[in-house]
Amino acid sequence: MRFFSLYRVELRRLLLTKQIWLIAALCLCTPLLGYTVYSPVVWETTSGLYIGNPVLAGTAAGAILWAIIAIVEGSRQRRSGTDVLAEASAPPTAHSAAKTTALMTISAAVTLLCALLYLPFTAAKLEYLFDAGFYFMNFLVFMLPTWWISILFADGLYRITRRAELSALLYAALVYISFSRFAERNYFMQWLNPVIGSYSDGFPDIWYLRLGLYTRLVWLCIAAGLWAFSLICARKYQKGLIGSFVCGLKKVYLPVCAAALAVTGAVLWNVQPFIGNGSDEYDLENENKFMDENMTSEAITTANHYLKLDPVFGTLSGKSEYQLNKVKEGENILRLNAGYKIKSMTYGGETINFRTVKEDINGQYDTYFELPYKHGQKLIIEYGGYLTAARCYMPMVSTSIGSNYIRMTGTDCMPKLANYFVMKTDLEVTLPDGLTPFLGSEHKPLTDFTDNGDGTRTYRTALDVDYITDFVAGNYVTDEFSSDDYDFRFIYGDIYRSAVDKYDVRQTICSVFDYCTEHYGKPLYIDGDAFLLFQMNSMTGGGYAVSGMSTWLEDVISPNTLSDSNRGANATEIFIHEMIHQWWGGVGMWCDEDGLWSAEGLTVYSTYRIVKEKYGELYANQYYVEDWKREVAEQDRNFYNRHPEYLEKLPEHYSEQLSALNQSVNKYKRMPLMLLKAEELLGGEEQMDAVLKQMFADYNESVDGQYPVTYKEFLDYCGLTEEDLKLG
Amino acid sequence: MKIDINNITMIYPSGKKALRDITTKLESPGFVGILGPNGAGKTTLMKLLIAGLVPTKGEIILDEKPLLSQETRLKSQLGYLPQSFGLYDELTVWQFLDYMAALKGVKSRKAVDEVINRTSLTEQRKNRIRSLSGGQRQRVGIAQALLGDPQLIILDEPTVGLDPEERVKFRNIFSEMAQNKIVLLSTHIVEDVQAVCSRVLVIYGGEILYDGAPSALISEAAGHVGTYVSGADDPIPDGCHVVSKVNVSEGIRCRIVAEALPTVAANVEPTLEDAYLYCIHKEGKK
Repeated sequence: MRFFSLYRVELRRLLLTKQIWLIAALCLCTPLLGYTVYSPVVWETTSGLYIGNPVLAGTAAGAILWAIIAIVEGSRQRRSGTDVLAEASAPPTAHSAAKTTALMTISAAVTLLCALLYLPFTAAKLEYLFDAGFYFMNFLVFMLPTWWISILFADGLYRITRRAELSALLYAALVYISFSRFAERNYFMQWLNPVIGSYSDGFPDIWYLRLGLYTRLVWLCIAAGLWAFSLICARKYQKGLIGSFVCGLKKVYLPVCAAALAVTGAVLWNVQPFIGNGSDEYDLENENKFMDENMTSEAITTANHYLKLDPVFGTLSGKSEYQLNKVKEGENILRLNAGYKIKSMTYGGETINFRTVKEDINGQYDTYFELPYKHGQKLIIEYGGYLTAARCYMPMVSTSIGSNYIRMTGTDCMPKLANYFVMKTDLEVTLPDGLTPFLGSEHKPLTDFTDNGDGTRTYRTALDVDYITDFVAGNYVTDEFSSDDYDFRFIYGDIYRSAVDKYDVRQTICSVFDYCTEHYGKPLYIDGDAFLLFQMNSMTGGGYAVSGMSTWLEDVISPNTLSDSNRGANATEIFIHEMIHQWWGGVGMWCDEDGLWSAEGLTVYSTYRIVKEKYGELYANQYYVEDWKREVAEQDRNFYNRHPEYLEKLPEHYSEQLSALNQSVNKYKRMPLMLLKAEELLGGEEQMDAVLKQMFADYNESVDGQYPVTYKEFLDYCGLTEEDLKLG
Repeated sequence: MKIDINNITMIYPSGKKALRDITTKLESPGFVGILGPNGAGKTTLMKLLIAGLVPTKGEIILDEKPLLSQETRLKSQLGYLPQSFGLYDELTVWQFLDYMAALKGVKSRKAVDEVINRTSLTEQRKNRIRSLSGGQRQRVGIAQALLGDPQLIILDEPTVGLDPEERVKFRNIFSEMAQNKIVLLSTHIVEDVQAVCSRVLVIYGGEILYDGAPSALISEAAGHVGTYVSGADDPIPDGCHVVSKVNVSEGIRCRIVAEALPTVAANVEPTLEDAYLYCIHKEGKK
């Protein structure tokens, strides 16, 4: 009760303080930084641009502002002498708690105001993709707790040091740690700038929100621990830090609370289920070695997998049954997602001992076990847990189990057994009934299901593969339509239905396929069935094509892409580009290191050609050729490109940035410009099309397109030299 | 309420010895005036009594239990006005006192209105503190000390900045409160102590020189206070301490205290101020 009356008056007092209103006003402005100078979201979808970036900018900048006011308030009370009366009147712990809670309450109100203030703009920008729940969750998960953490840190540091400048300096050190390069790869260190790799627009996944919430909880514990520790250090009896600390220890509950909070934070950090603790680099060698052992095995087996997914908690519970025709003597190995725990293992009804080595290999752990040398028995493995993301994929995490979207690959679904080659796999998977599942890199839809009557469905399928490379489930719809030459199965998120209609996406697909077939021939990946076009969650980071199927990323059709006039692109043009990859995806797939010969360059050129035919030469020149020329000229003007000897003197970070930029310009601007020059030198579009058609036909015949066409080969097709295509 | 101060010595970390082996007793009802020159140890004693300091030696007993073990109880029964303090300028008088009431755990809002009336701040109750004069701010300070009917009231120079009329009014309020409480008044204005205190503590050099009724202190000075008229450049006789000098037509009338009055001086009735100075100088000689 005492606390509440203290809290009431402290809240009112703070609300009557001008500085608080100033800080609140500045905090309301901080998300603007996310639209301009601070854009931490790695893959910028519309949600990333208009929710992720502003929220993260507001989170970091606002947290610093709240820290400033916490220090200023503490210092002001001491300097003005108001603390003399307070210390003689109120119990210090309750009073400190009331003061901090009051400041935290105001920061909570400002968070809400901030969310409301930017809501209309965000809703307008996201249009049909806007999800109010997801929007508010971002403020609640990232902004509010981070502001609280910051207040606790700053208030605690001031109470410990009793000096404004020293506490500000220590706080600045904490900020530095959060933004340091060290924290860049240790995501839990980022207490002030939580990580968002990408936000899907149409399949709002809550992986980053879950990670954000968990890291906030960890840091709240740590900050609250420091704050409780600061209460022990609160100056008493005109003693110094150490004397007061010794006196403070007499209130046993304070050190107990401080230690309990700090330990809780440390334990939570240590047992976090989100990110594996493996290497930053993908360990291809180890992965290949494991696969080789698998493939060369003589022991053949069939498998049944039963998966149950809990989208609320993001967990999987699985049971895998292997009928082993032959048992490998000695030690057997299985590999499973590092977040899963093997609950039991039996062979022929007999319990098998196993040991899991917690050495993270691409987000997986290996488990070792020995089987009794009895052939033809059933190996049953029960496992489950929270799906962990491999550190090497961070910060772009595409695998997760959520209510709106599920994606799992390989050992996220089931164990991978070394030494056993699985000939046939039966899969049974139970999901929420709003999600449609697709399997494998071909994204084959699962259609055989039973309704469980509890809001879930159990899907069943038989596969002739040893394990699942990709499992995707989301709120998808399927359209089937035909062009002159092809049948299409077009699968996309239900939320995009209106945009697909509005931008006449189906017609665009048909026209591109017909155009490219006429000019370059039939694409390699078309087989007898309907061609499948699958919309991927943007969190996967890129698209690909395999036989009979091509993926396209959802942001191709997002409002942000469609409103970017600089691209000279509308949804149609971007669709054209993505569809053309069906032809050029493999031809230049292995691009040169500098990006001067790539599938992208060929695709951009062909897009230009179709756009030219569709909208006229003026339009194509303005939005394509002129843009290429401008970017190439800028690249050539760059000081470091003109004087590469100075490039070495740049910090690695900057030289990497420039290198990535150069590669991008080479791919998307310089190479199309070179192709345009080739077209001129060859005598026109017809001649160029003939060259490309021949090249494509030869490529298709080259052992099913296994060998991409090199730049040199392209020059030979044209009868030109590298020198000819150099841009003046 | 009963406070026993037992053999208290207070040495600051700087080495300064503020109090030396002080022993006394405070009991309600009682109005105790504390007199002493600057640096005598008055404020240190008060800080010890509000548990703002821990004595180097000795202990303070509040109702038969160590004071430091019952800080919460002490704070709930304490009204304290320090010598220098700050107020929240952004609050109104009422809001500030409501704030202080919450800090003290005083639930009744009537209590706030009561002290506002009592300290003549009714007109200013809605004024922001930043708009108050020095005297009005001092009254707010007094008001917060009186909040919640505290059993122990410690006032360090409470009437500084008040006009004479207000001073009289406040010392009467303090006197009223002392009917059933302990009121401890530290001041340089000896007249205030003489007017209302039933007991006076004279502190000098960290020691209590005198502890008793003001009248007894005055009696002790009888025969040691005198006046004489001197010229402007005349030296002060040996062993005398000037209490006051007044210009008169014959020259300068000097009021002095001395162990043995010089023959030029006429014996006069001592006041408390004379007695206080006599006490200080007598002990100072020791």
